[in-house]
Amino acid sequence: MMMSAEVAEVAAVAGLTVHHYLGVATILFGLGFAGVVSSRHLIRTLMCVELMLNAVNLVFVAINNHVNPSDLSGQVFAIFILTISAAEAAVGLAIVLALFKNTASVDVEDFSRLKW
Amino acid sequence: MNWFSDFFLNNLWLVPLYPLLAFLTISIGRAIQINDPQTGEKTALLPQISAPILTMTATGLGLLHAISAIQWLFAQPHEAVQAVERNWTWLSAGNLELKIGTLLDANSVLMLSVVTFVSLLIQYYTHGYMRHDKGYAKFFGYLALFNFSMLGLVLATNLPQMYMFWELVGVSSYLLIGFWFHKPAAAAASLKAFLVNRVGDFGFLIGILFLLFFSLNWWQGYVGLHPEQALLSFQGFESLAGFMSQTLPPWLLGTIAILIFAGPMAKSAQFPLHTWLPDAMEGPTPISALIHAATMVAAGVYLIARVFPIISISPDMAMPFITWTGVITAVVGAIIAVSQTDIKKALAYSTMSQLGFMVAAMGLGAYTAGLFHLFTHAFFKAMLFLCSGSVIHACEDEQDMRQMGGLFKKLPITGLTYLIGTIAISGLFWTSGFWSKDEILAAALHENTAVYLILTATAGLTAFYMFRTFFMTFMGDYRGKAHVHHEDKVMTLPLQILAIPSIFIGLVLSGFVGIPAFGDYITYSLQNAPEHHPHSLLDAMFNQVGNISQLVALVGVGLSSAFYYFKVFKTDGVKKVLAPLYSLSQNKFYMDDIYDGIVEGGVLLQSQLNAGFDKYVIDGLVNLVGTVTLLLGKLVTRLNSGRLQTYVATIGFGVVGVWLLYQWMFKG
Repeated sequence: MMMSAEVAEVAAVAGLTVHHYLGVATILFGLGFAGVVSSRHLIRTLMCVELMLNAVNLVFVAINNHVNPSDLSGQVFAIFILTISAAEAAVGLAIVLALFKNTASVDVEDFSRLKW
Repeated sequence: MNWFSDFFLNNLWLVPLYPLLAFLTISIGRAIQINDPQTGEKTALLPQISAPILTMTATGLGLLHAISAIQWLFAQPHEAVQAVERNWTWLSAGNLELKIGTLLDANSVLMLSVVTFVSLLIQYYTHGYMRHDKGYAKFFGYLALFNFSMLGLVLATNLPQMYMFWELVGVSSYLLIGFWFHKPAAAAASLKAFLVNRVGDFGFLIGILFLLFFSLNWWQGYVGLHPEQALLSFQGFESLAGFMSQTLPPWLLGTIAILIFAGPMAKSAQFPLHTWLPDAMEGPTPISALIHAATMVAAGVYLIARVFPIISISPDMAMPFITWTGVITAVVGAIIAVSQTDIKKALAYSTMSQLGFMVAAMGLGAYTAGLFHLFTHAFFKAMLFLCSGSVIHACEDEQDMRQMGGLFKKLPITGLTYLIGTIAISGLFWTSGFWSKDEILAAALHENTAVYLILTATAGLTAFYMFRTFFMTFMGDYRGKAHVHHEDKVMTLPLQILAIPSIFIGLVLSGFVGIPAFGDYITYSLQNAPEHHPHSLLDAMFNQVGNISQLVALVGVGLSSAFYYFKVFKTDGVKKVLAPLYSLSQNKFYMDDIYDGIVEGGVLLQSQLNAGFDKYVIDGLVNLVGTVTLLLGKLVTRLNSGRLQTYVATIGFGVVGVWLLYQWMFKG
């Protein structure tokens, strides 16, 4: 298994800087955001949220390797976020399931009763 | 002296503590409920009969202290009496340390003996008077509380301590006036007493603070006193007065003295703060005798005696003010007393008038005479009130003298003691009132002829209205409807005991019977005091003044008997001739109406204005804030579509927008 410092070395050999990672993460986050905004299917919305979270994870790891490769706090954060997002997905899916049972619909447009 | 009286003398701090313990035991013991093992019903932990026993034991122990203090005083020649002061720290804040303690000197011995002796008799009397009242035990608890406060006041070493106990006697007075609080009149009277006293006490407090402000450095740098000496200790007032008269302008000295005098003005019912005292007669009669005749109202005179050095350095401002306040009070009280039909109200106005005599004496610088009158008055006025209580009790709570008459046959002991009290207060036949009142009159003649003439006339009026109450109550035919009961032995015993000092105490302490004169011990001699009277000077004038005043009093008695006993003159005709004066007297000089007017016109109007301001300006602002928030909220609710995508998009683009704004503002 490669240490984080070695990863950074390999990446450097491949000509990858932190900017590449951040670029990918930005694109991922943007895609996720666009998906959340535009999708009408609740399951798809949840998946897009996961995409956004993963973009954030990527930023954490990349910045950690860039700033201080011997320290692993960024990675630890990423692990935490993964755990939380797993829990969030479970809860989210349970809510979607409950909604579907009650209304026979997973369309976001159908759940707009909470307004003035 | 043996160890026994040494113990009583050296532990004066116990004196206020006994009644405090009695009060706490009674209140706690009566509040805790237990199940009676025999009947299974709930009863108080302390049986009812223990309340009078505890209270009277506490007072009796105090009387033992007082007796050993009297022994101590008379065992030494009066030139050699050294006051004994003991202090304990009460509270300290920074370099300001207030103390609490006991001061043993001639003045405190005087008050200590009066308060404990009269209290004990009145407590015994109370057992007879209140036996059938529901609040019997509670009443004794309050009596103990009053004794604690009064004895703490008497033994106070310094002005702050005196102020604290001064307020405490006010509280106990309030509780006792309103003892029958289910009667609206009693509840109102207790409130009135409290509020009127608040006015005076506020002035008193400001006076104390003024005094402290101008003398704090002096006290802290003063070395002439014992190092344990308290701040604002009465013992240091003589030196303080010397210091102040050199450093402060006369108007400031006068202001401080008058502010301090505001306390006695309210507590001793001086015009125009006297209105609470007649109303205070709504309380049970033993209270009227103890608090509102013999002890608490006299505390004002006692306070003037204590701070006399501070007053005497303002001979052109404070002293005339005090004199004329006293004179006006004496005259107004006597005039109102003439037309009163309620026996207790008549006695209350008489008390007010006599307090006016004492205060006037103080203002004239006749320190000894004022205190002597306080001393004798305590005995005969307490007795008169107790007699009125006995009459009221026998007549089934009737207080109107028009419904009495001819009670001498039914109530011989009460009638006789009442007659003795009446003679004593009129100053006839060398009874105790004669000595003290004539000492005041002699001082007045020496100082100010106008005051002398007014006070002598008032003394005649005193004889007139006091004999009027006597004739209306005890002579002639019975006019009432109530069935007259017989005298209660528990109630007549204190009357008989009090009759003895009422007759003889003046003569005994006058210096003519071999016992040292009252004035030998209780004198105040400040070298530079302009109004200082040596006691012998008064003696020299005695015969002349005494004869005139006896003559005037006899004229008063004669007129009174002509009107109310022999019925030579008809009162109706005189009422018509003196119509303005009569209506003035009947309406108590309109003082209550004036206060009503001030309260309604001033305070109520002001509060209505304030209420309007609160309603329209303050509330308006608050409502405006609420309305604006509500309107803005209504505007924004439209954005709340309920569509998730819209929300998310708003958040996302909002973040980007904020970031762009940040870039533009700080980086661009």
